[in-house]
Amino acid sequence: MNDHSRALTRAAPILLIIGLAIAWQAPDVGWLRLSDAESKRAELMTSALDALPDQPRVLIGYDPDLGTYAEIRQTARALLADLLARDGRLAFVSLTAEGRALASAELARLGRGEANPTRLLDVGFIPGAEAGLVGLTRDIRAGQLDDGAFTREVELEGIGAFDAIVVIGGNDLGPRSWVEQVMPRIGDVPLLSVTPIVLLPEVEPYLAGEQLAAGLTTPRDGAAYRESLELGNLSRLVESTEPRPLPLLLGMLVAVAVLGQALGARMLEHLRSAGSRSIG
Amino acid sequence: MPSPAEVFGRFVRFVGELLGSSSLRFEIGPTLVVLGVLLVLLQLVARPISRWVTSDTAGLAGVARAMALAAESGTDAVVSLGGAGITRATDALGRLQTLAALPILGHVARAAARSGIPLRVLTNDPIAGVMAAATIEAAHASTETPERHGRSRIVMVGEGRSTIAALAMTTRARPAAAFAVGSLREEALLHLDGLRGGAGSIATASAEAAQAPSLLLSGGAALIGPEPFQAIADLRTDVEERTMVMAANRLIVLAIALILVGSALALAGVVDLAAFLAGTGRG
Amino acid sequence: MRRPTLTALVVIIGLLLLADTLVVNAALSQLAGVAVDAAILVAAGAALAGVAALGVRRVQDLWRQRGDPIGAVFVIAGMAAMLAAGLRPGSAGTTDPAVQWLVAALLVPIGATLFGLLFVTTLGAARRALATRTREGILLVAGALVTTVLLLPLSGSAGAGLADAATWSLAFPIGAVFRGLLIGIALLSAVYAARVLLGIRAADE
Repeated sequence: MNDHSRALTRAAPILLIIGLAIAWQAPDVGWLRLSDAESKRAELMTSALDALPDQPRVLIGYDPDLGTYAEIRQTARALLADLLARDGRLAFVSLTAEGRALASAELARLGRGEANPTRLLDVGFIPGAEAGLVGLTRDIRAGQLDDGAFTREVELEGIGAFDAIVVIGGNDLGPRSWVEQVMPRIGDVPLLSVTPIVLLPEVEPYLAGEQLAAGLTTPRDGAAYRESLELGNLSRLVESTEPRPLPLLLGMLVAVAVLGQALGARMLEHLRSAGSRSIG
Repeated sequence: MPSPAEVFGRFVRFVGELLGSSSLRFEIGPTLVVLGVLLVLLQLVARPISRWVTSDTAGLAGVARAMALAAESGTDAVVSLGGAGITRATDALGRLQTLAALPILGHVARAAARSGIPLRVLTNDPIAGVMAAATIEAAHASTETPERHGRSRIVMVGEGRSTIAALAMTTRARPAAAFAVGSLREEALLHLDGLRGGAGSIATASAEAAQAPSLLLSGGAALIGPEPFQAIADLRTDVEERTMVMAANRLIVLAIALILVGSALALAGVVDLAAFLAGTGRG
Repeated sequence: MRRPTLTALVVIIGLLLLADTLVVNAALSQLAGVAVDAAILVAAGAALAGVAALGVRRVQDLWRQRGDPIGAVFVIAGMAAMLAAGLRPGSAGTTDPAVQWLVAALLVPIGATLFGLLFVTTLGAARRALATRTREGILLVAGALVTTVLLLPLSGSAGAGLADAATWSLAFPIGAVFRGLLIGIALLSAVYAARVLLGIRAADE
């Protein structure tokens, strides 16, 4: 590698950050669109929510990962707001330390957004990973001292009190663990999920096999779902700005350029060596 | 005092009541699938077959050479057990990969013990650290090198997958050989890039399907998919290890046959075998 | 050396949990519940022991002036800050504003930044894979290039076409490869798990 290439390689990450910052501030352009106009996954999620009874009681398994949370945060918040808009009552439980920290922050944010506190229940953190999931199917104890009606229903009926389970997944415990450990032990309760794209290979078979009733697995599905929502005054509970497609496009074009250049150089080298062999 | 016949009768009635109050959690199809895995394994355990063809995909059999190079350069070797651990809040597949990493650690530890190379084992779980320490101790005992045991160490990096990846990225050590064996998820490329940067060679193994490309891109030898579970069978003549791989091979052949037959039946509209075997739609 | 007591314990608990998974029975469920509760306690105890051991080790490193002193200071300071925020008198635990500030202001940005490095790391790894001239590297990079183009966030008919092609490629060729991997992984892990449950271990494990 010569000096010019070496300097370019060292400067590339800084140039990329500067370019992304500029793209982030630039105005939107009409020919870019993050959401998939015909996202079947988004439609399936909406249908699954429409099929829930009135005032559904929903268990939220909140276990995102710090590294991938930024990718699904907006979709997760939109889903929570959608459930609250449908007069849903939400019980939050976490089985990972990171998930618990993020669930606490989310509950605090909902409190600051003046969400109805009688519709929110903090079950807390359950240790033991999958053993904890199995224990959850036997009984549920609310983490806080709360003698509201929702709390009493949950403690009396356990997991049978819920009309649906929503899993906000991440890196460690995700929809697969809930399908394996919880679903065989309870009745026909629909399991929905919001997961980062890194979990797509393992979540896709469960969606195809209908063990997951619905799932938002990619940023485009999440964007399509968020576009379809009508939250009224609960719009205050979702993020006010959508992800900007221009920085995303810039990053993808940089990736295409880098990979394309490397692949093209390799193919050219291969053709040259094949040509020299044929001449020789 | 009841007679033996009465005791036997009560026992039979008790068993009958127990069976009568029980029911299958899954449908018959999924239950048979689970029992089939056990039966295939038990069949081979009871009657192991000795014919075996070694295929050491990751070149782990040549780890002695890497240890010899380490001995010449006076450095150590590092083994990362991945990010799942044993008692961390993660799923069973991650934990199984950590358990499957321990025999490979034992293989590397025996080679390191013979060459006098200290091992540095990275883990983010205390129980995995204890098991790794026991594995290294057993390696030194089997190679009759107990005096070299104190030079190896277990590094407990703290909770979290990103923690072990960050440590691998920021450490200044330059081991002669690096091994990453276990559950590597989204942090895989960071983890492996950090290990690869300072090491003379790297070998990786993980059964995380989504990270198979990361392992292949990281350079060096890679075991992807189910290969980490079966690697140790190629490295030592252990009947239980090879029995496990043979059992899995039989199940894979059976699965392929079921997929082909089931697809044909489903296309012909005769029966949906997938729904019967997997209990899909049961929720 | 195998210890028959431990092996018997593993087999009994393994078969108990397996039976509870397959059969619905109240008595069996209670017995399995005891084993599950014990597993939860062991996991919680191990987690606490690990944290304590990490803290003690780092303090020892500082005291004996060995290892990475800066890293040790950061580990101890971070643990102390979180413990003080969560366990001080009057604290609300994980819901305490101080704990939530530490999470939101430190943990979340650091975690997100670390994974943001994946972009640069992935591109670097792809270029190095091509430099090794392996068939797998070329196929991987070419596949990644095509998939990235298909996922470009364009609107209009061009974007719809790309999205349809991306959906098809994820569902069929890419999905087929992953299904094969997942089936192999599932079978091997099921057999390995059965081996652990039945206490079938190698001689030196």
